[in-house]
Amino acid sequence: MSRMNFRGLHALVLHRADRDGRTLCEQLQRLGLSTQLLAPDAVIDPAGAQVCFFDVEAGHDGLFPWPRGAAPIPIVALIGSETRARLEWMLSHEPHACITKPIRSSGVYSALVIADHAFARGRRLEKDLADLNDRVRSRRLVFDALLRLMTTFGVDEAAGYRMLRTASQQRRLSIEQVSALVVGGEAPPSIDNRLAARPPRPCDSSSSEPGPDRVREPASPTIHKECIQWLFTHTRGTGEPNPPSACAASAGGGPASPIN
Amino acid sequence: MLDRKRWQMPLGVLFSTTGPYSIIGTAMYQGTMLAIEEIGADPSFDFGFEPVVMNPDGRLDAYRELCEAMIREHEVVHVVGCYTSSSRKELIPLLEKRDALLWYPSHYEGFECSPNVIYTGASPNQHVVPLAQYLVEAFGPRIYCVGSNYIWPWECNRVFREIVQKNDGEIVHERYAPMGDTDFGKIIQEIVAARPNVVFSTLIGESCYAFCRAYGALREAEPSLGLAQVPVASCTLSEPELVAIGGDAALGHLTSSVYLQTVDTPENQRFVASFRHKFGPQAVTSADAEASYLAVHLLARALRDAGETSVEAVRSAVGAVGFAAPQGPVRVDPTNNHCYLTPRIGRSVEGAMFDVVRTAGEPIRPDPYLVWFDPSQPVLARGAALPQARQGGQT
Repeated sequence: MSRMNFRGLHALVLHRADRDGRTLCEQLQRLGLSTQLLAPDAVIDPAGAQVCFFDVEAGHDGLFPWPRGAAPIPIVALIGSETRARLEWMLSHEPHACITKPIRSSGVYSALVIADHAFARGRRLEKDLADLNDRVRSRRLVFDALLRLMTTFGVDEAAGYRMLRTASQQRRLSIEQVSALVVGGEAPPSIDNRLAARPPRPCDSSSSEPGPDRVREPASPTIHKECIQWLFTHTRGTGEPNPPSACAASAGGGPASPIN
Repeated sequence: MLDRKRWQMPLGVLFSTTGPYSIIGTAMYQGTMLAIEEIGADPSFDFGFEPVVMNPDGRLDAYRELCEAMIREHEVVHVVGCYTSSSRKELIPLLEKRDALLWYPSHYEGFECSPNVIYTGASPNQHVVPLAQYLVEAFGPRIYCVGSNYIWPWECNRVFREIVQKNDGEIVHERYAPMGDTDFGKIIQEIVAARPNVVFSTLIGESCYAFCRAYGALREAEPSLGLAQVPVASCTLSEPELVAIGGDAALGHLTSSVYLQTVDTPENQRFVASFRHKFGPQAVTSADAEASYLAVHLLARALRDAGETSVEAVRSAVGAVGFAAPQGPVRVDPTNNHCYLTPRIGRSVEGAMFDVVRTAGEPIRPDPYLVWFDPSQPVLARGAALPQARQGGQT
């Protein structure tokens, strides 16, 4: 549900103090916003403002202190002359809504609602895009982790992936984070603590109990193995099949994983 | 006094006294004409109003045409008129272009603030909000919504949903009938089956009357259904409409209104007496008649202070004038051209009247955009004084 009430927000209005500028400010105040009418050549500080209206006709390249298209708050274009040059300049700043002049009391509320919605949508899409980019970049990492699991535990690709997924669910980490732990052999402090607190298991007797300090050291082969063991042997009884025991898998090397 | 030659200002009077909503249009017309007569007889004014009356007959395209004729041929600057939002929106571009001022005497759904309109009827925070809050508190949280299929019911029901949900209640169904529809058999069956605490009706005109008649008939014929405990509530139902519904079917309904004929003020006693004197002993007053009446009185006072008829001068002056209206003191909020009004809830009784069951303690500031609306703050309990909007910068 998009925002419909703008009470208490602060608006920057980059426009001359003429009839249009005043009408816009009055209507914004009716809608519960505070307003600041700034001359188009003023220095803009978006801090403390939640929306910015700007006069397209008086606009110039140095108007905004942010890069084109990267406005930190919703921006609404106030269009006077509908010439191509001005509209091109306006579009280069990616406004979230526009109002054609002369400004009237009607239309301002709709523009606010649309700008707020478009800005939120843009933010959401940017975040989704960044997440997808991260995923694409980490595919190599997941692949490395998968290979390592396949060779360490002697399982096939599907079973290896299921191990990653199960660990991801149980540790509440992303697949990529689990993969990083597998490949890098380094555990974050939260895991260190659990690692330190875990009860001794038979397969631990061969090495000394790894404390948090030891785990944060550059991954030695032993600690690396400890991490992998921890990731795949501690289960929380979620009803999911347990991943193969690291000890059993490394000792026996058999494919008899219970998740197969 | 009457023999003194006064200047007569032409005043547009634009109501549909015939057509689908003629009962309301007639009430508005009557309130306007009574006020015009009173101003003409009041020695404290050195001018009077010359009414320029036109009747659009409820046809949307006739409003603009007739209003244009008033402005062009009769030098009208001020118009009292319109009931529906669609007719008002039809006039606004013309009013802004010709710089005329519409005195709009109807409650409406809000979300508008034209500089060429003075709104003397209730804003949504003055009738929709207090009714929803009252119904949930007094009857329970399960509400059945039935309305005519257009913008006013949609927006009313949106506000209702917000308030009901904040109170852990439920809109059990939300049904819309085509404008003018009079067959409510299926909807009433559904109400019987759904057993809501209350029915909220945004049906207007003939649809409203037909629904109330059908509901009343079933209520009487089948007392075991318990419909007597499920009142029909609305933000529109007025005294002349109770007459139109007629009989026992008109009893026991709730209405949210800033004016009821039974309001106990000296100003209202005078208003009701004058109204009956002018329009006959059977005539009933209503919120629509009162809003039209007070619009003319506010206009007269603003004109007297402004000393000229221009829209700008009158608009500047109107914020400073008050009027002891039948409903109580009324004044215009100069920040949005809507009025401070006193919300009330009424329950219909014999004689086409409403008993006042709840009243706000004082006039409530208009909030046409529901900016200050807080579903958890009851309007009627405390006569809320709203916080002032923050003013900032160089404006």
